[in-house]
Amino acid sequence: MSILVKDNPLVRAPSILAKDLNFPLLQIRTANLYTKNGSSGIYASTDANFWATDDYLHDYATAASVGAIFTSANDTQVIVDISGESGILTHVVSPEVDVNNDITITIERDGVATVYLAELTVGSSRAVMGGCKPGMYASVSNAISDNSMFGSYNDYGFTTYSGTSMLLIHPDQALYEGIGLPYENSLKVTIGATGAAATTYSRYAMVKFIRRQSQ
Amino acid sequence: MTQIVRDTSSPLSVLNPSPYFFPVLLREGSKIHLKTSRTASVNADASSFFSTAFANEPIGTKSYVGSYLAISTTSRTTVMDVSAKGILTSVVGPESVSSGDYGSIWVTIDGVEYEWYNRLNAGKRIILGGTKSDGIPIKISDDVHQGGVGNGNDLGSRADLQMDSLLLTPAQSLYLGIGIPFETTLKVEVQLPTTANTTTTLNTAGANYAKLY
Repeated sequence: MSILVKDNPLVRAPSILAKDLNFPLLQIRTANLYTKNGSSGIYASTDANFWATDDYLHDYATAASVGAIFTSANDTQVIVDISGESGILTHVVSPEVDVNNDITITIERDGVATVYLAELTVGSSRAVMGGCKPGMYASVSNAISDNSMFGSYNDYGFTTYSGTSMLLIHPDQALYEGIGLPYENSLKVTIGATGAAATTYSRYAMVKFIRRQSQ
Repeated sequence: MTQIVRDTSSPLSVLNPSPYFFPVLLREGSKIHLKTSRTASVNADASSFFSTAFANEPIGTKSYVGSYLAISTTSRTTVMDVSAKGILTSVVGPESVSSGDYGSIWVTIDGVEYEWYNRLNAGKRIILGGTKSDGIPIKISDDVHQGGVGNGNDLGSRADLQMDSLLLTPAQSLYLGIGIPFETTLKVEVQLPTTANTTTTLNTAGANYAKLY
């Protein structure tokens, strides 16, 4: 059977009105995952400031981040478990594991759970879902004005693929990019790791979401 | 009651059928580029374009898998045929020889075949998946901002077939929601049914897919 592409339902533009937006699952070395803190500050996820910047364990009215610290091999932790409100899940950041270890991410929205399994193929890496922009560094100067674009100077392209930096974007930016998983009443995210790293901040994990409505 | 939808395939599976899209682009090989570092790029007229984007890289160093080969006949030819789980992110077909030639790319996802079929001007490739076309998509210095839709270097509709485009890495494609998920099998075939292209590199086609497991 052959289906001509013009009739192919796979070929369609994603809609911001769709129930599910894009929610990519990627892997990145812990030292290459960054966040910005103001116009001139950047922190890698090996740094305490990364987790402070991203409001680790803080909870705001409209955008929230919650986290957990993994303790040992084969650890499983519930990162967030909320009900009675709606919102959009924008980020999941796993703890670091070494090559050939597994990260299992279970996302349960409104009672329906999906289990994502990532067997990381690069050492000292995290599995990240949602708003993490691959192939980019973060600008610390407004003189370099085009480095947020794929193909720009700070995009390393294919060759240094595994070591390429990735930027954790703001939840509002994730929605602008069409990234996020909406939920209407409840959200629960559980992460399992078969071998979390020993370094303190490498064992941190985090979920970020936007609170749309409290009931 | 909790309904468990187990999906261990992942890189990218989602609850609904697909939030992904898969654009098609027609370009001369010299107009489709990829970056090989901060300061270097290569276009599809060069063999290193294919050995970079579509190499069968060890999964231990890269999280994508590629395949490419030269196609010097007008026969339907298999570029990739795997039993795996992943997301197809890019396919680049061979260049046509003459205006009016036709080209086809078949992608078979878990046993269901889809066909892209285009009439081509001379020297055009069919390119599926992760590309970006917005003026000057490749920068190898940090001097000034030159890209972006509507920017002074965006050639717009008038010269759209001459606009330079960027082949995205698989991770960048996934970030933008570009790709086709497959659960068990993927097969990619290409054909220039009108005129065979016997020129080295111009007759090369490739495909790659992302995986995390």
